[in-house]
Amino acid sequence: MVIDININQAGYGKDEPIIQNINFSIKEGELVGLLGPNGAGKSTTIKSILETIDYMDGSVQFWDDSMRYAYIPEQPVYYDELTLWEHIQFTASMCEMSEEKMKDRVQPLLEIFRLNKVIHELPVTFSKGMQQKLMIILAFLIKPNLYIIDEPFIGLDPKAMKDFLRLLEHERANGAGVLMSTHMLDTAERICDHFILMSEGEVIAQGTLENILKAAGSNNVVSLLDSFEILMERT
Amino acid sequence: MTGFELFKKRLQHHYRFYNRLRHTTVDWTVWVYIFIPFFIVGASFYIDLWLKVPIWPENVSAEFMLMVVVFLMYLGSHYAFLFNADVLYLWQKIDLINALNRYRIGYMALITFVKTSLFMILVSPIFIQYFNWDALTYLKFSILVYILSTAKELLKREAKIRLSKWTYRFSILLLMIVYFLMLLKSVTNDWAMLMVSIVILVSSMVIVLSKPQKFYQEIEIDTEQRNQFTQLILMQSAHIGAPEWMTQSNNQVSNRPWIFRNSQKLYSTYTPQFAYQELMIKTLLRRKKWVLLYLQFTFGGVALIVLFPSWYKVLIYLILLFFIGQLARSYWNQIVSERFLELFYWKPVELSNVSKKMFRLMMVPSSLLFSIALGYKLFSYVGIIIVPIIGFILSFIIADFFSRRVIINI
Repeated sequence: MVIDININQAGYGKDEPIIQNINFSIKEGELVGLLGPNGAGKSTTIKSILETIDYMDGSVQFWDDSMRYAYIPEQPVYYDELTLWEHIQFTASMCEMSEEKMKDRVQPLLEIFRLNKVIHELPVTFSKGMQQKLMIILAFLIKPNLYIIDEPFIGLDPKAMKDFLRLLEHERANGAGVLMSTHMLDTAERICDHFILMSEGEVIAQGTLENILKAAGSNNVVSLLDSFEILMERT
Repeated sequence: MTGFELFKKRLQHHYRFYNRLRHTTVDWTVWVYIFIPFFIVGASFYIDLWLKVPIWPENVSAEFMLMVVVFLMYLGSHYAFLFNADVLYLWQKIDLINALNRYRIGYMALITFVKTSLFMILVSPIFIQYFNWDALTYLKFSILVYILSTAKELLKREAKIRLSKWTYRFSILLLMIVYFLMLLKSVTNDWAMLMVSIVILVSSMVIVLSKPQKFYQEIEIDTEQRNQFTQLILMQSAHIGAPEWMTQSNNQVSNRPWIFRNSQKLYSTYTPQFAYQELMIKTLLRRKKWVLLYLQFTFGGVALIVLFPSWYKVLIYLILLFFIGQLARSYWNQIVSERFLELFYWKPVELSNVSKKMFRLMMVPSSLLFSIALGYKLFSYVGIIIVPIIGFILSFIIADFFSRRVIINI
């Protein structure tokens, strides 16, 4: 087990809960898709895991104290005044990583994502796709036990997306768990092992694709999108 | 709804906004520790000026004071009182918008009158007591300053809306030079200059009122002004930190930083403590506006210490050290509140020593210059050696004080 999440309530305050009764866990090597329409509570769930939410009643339990997560946000965040290489140095220093180890890990990533020619440039001058790649490189640099990824497919070109999924696959094979929040149900259906469908701040169904289709309970249901629609209508 | 009613409503909204801001930031401690002592010292200083106690104004030339007046005339801004939502309905009611425009100009003229009167009353002892101007000459000079300030307010906003950035800057610089020359000329030719100023004011009004307003530019300028003022005030808040307008806009940023262009590492060790130190130093040196603010504050502070009479110097010296510490605290809080730090689960790090070290580093250059200025003015060359030592000790105490009041648990 990588993480166990039991949230009774979370939001901006006790009187303003946005999500409630969110219970799920992520196992080693598992890719869990957190799915739902806008306003379903996906981002609040992620904020609760990151402990950046104002109010939370519940627990987020990492099964190893030294376990680390890396969060790849939909909107890249960085220091405007630091170069790409300095972001890498800062991240490595925060993890007390040696310079050799940092270089060994980061050089192949820079080549894969074709950022090796702009390492001394400021990310603020990059395109959104390049900034997104920086977020991905930093996450793969620290090799966490859990990757939390918010809308990973927005802003990336097809090659970068393919490379990203390949790297993620490799990390999963080494035992890392992944929580991926996305709107793209067709892609999610193809790559996720486990799904959590959210609507209006609550989990309406969770399990494997088979479990979800079964929960939708219609003979015509063939895809995740169809079953999601049925389950949404029911709630 | 009439134009006046609309203007009244917008003005109420405007004041409600600033009142809320005042309630958030100014509590009784600010009154007790800053405003009341400032008023007491200020009043005593003002009375001394009328009594000709300080001797430093004797060394100040009239040209220098005119430059100060021109600089203060340049400052200031006013609002169009338009909202984004007006584009849906009000913008089509041209009579209503024109009326709103006329009332906001009238309001601006009133506010400029209050500000100019206040300022001219404040500097009056220097002109009347030290430059021996008679009251009537000074009154005519004040009226001239008021008329020119009002015209400047109109022209400045109009130029900002209609001209490109550099043309705007150049035009305003030119206007300020013309104003300076007019003030200079008014010393010998006051009536003529008053007539010219009235012509300038009337022409400015005709220019502004005859041209249709540019909706989106007006909104943008209002928002920018409101944000600058708000964030300057909120700068004092521990969690908000420095004003956002002090970060550069993207189109001003070049691909590589101007200093440490090849991402040279300042510390060879890869630890969280050194990472934070490096982060603080590099981001600070690369934020040109912060560097400029720091330099302005330092050299402005030195000028105050030099200009003010004896015991005020010590008081100002202490206040300046305190403010540099506060500036360092604001900067620290801003940097450690950045969302980048939420991307990963870092191991808990003890940062109180890092913050202390950084605060000391930030305070030392200003403290040294303040101490040299104070030391020299109070004790001549001996002071240059003794006061900096005291300054270092005080800076370290203030740095320790502020470092206990920052965000250190990342």
